[in-house]
Amino acid sequence: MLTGEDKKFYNISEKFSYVKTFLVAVEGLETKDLKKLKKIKDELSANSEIEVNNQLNNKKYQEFKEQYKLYLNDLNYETNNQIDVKEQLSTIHKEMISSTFYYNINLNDPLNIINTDIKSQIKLKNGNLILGDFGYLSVFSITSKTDEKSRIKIYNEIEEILKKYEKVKAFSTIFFYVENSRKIQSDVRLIIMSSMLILGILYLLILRNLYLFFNIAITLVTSVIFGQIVVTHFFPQTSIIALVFSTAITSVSIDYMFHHYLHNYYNKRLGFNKSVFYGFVTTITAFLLISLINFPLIEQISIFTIISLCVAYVHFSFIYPYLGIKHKEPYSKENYKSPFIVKGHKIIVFSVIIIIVSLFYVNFDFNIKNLDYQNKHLLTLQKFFKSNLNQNKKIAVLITGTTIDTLITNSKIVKKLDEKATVPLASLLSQKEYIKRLQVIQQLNFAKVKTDIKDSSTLVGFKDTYFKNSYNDTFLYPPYPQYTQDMIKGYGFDLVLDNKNFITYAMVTPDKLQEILNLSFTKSAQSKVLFENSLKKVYNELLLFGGLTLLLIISILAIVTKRRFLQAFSYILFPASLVLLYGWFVPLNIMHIFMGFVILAIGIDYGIYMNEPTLSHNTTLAIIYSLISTFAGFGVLIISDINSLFSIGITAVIGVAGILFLLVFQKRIKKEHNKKRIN
Amino acid sequence: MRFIILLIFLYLSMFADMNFKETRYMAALDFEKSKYGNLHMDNENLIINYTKPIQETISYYNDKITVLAKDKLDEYSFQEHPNAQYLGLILKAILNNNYATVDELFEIKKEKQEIQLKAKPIIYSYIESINIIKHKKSIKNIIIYMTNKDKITIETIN
Repeated sequence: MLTGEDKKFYNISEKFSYVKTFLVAVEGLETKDLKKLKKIKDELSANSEIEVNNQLNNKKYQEFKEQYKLYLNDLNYETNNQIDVKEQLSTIHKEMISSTFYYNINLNDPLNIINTDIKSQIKLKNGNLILGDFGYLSVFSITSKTDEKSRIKIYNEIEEILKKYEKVKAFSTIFFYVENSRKIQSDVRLIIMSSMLILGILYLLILRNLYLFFNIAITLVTSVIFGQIVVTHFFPQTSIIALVFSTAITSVSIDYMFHHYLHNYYNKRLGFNKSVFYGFVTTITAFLLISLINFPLIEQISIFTIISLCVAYVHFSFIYPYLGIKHKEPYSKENYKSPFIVKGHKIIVFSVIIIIVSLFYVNFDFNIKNLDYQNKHLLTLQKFFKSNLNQNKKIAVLITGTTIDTLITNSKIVKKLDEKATVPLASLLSQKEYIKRLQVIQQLNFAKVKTDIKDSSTLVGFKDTYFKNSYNDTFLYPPYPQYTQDMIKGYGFDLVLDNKNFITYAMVTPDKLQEILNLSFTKSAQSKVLFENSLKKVYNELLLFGGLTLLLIISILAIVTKRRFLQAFSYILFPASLVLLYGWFVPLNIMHIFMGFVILAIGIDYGIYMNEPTLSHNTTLAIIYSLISTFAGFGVLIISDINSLFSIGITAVIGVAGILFLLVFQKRIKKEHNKKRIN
Repeated sequence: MRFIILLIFLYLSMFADMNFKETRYMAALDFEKSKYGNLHMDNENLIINYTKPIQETISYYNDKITVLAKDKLDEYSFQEHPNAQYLGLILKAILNNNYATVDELFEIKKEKQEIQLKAKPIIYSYIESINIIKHKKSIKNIIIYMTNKDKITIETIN
């Protein structure tokens, strides 16, 4: 769904640890709760794919911080005259002797030149992280591979461990993948089963011809399998939603059967049916056009539909006449008279008005996340953790740099712009900072400080050689910082090398987001934004190809129906207006729009059938049964919790209901007797 | 009646004072200082009362320390003085015999009558290691080795 640069950055953002973070919180802030958390922690970290995320205890990072202590922290002095060695040592001496509390001398920096007033941003209690007022928190990293199987495995293993404990909350974005995937699969299974059941019953009841029914079943299954083989050949990662749609489309291919059968093409071998052929060709062409849209799901569905319809058409038109199918009278209601009739032009006027007004009132939904299953339980859990961690409103941003040092400098720029942001790499030392601090250190004249200490310490009362190693060269002049990727990763920081750019991430506050994104070295990492951009591009394509399809349909309709064009055209206008009317109340997403075009492509079939000079009772029946089967085939999708499937279903229901309305209530241009039957 | 006395005994024993002698060796001054006092747990708070040579009280709460000496009360919050909380945590853990709270700070090694706590990177620059020597079930000695060569020894007296 993402292309080019957007896709590249999305893939990179997926590599960062904030995506693989796994949080576990235990309710309660008493010691027994901490004990419970430790137990859980031990069990979880025993799993090879779960690592305790412990930045604080990262040995290499702590050693780095200690090595560059004089460079990373603020200093309490700027010049040498500000330091009165003897006075300071006296104060310290007094403090040590008389203080109630234990006074700890730092051997490296006894005079406290380094300002160690660090305001801890991390909330600790009893040495452990806490989650607001809720309880104790442990942070882990899930290091499993990103394919579905690995994710499901680790999800199950975590569930095994956590189900033994009460009052524990756990969350990771990986849960979304697993739970949503499970939900989608179970939904899909349910839908396909219901669909097959409903359609099966429908066909049996309507046709009352068992032999025909079995043949239909075989044909439809064959068409589905064939379609699947072709699609999975071109798209190794076929969406399961394509499978659902494709099963539903068989309820359209059945139309070809209905028309042949009810007009006795099977038992009387009447040759080639032109109307069905025109309908078939227009539908196929429409889908061919739609398949050009650069959106994998739409491509998959279109190609599947084309293959499936072709197979079904070939079967129903050319093979079935030779199967020796007997004609049995299908179910029909005799002498049905519609309660009221609406004149054709009224419908067209109504539709046109609705369509024009819709241009102002219709709403669109560009958020791709809304197409997915809305896992309310996980979304609430995610919100709970985020709000307690004050990460609630922070937005992910990628920072790039041509060298690691540039990356660190860039990170510091971001941190300076947004003080509340979490910018991991900003806590490292850049080369520029090193040089700047070196000058200050030279100004402090540590050679003099050391001599002063040597002279004063015994006078004040300290042991003779105690301070001999204080302010030594290793402490004052650590090596010039030259980082490698391994070093940074060793400190527990996220760093990715892509092409010739180093990339890391930061979490920034929303009000500073635009300012930060305006910098030349930042890029949005929010998948929502990346997807939105990509989706907007697709919408334009959708409108283009959809428009072309529409043009094609209208021209074919005009050619075929000639004088009765307007009546046939209402079969396109009216359903379209109904779908747009729906868009006044519910924002239309990409699936609504796509299905809208599909309805039009199907609707044209009916427009063509309705055009037949002698509109027999059987034709009407065929159309009604086709509609009912399409209604059942797609309508069953509205039971799904997955928004994309629901959207397809509701659009189909609205469209088909519209066509059905026209069929039953629209006044025919030529007066036909419903009673006339052709045997 | 006997039951109530037993209960009172149990109640009192929970808050039993632990009498100790604290010896601080300050390497910088090459000087040893001893204090006497008692400590006990009050809910989740640790109260250390020094009786000799001067009367002083240090109280470790969940988020701060208070020091009461010569009728003056000072407060130090952990946000501003993170190192201050460590000693309190350690003592509490030792008293409760529950080392879960110091799991982040030390590697814990338990032997028969001795427990060794080795510092993890987060407190490397402050404490090196701690030895806890027990006699049967009660604590006999706690020896804290600081990184700057200082040593604090706490011996229980009964």
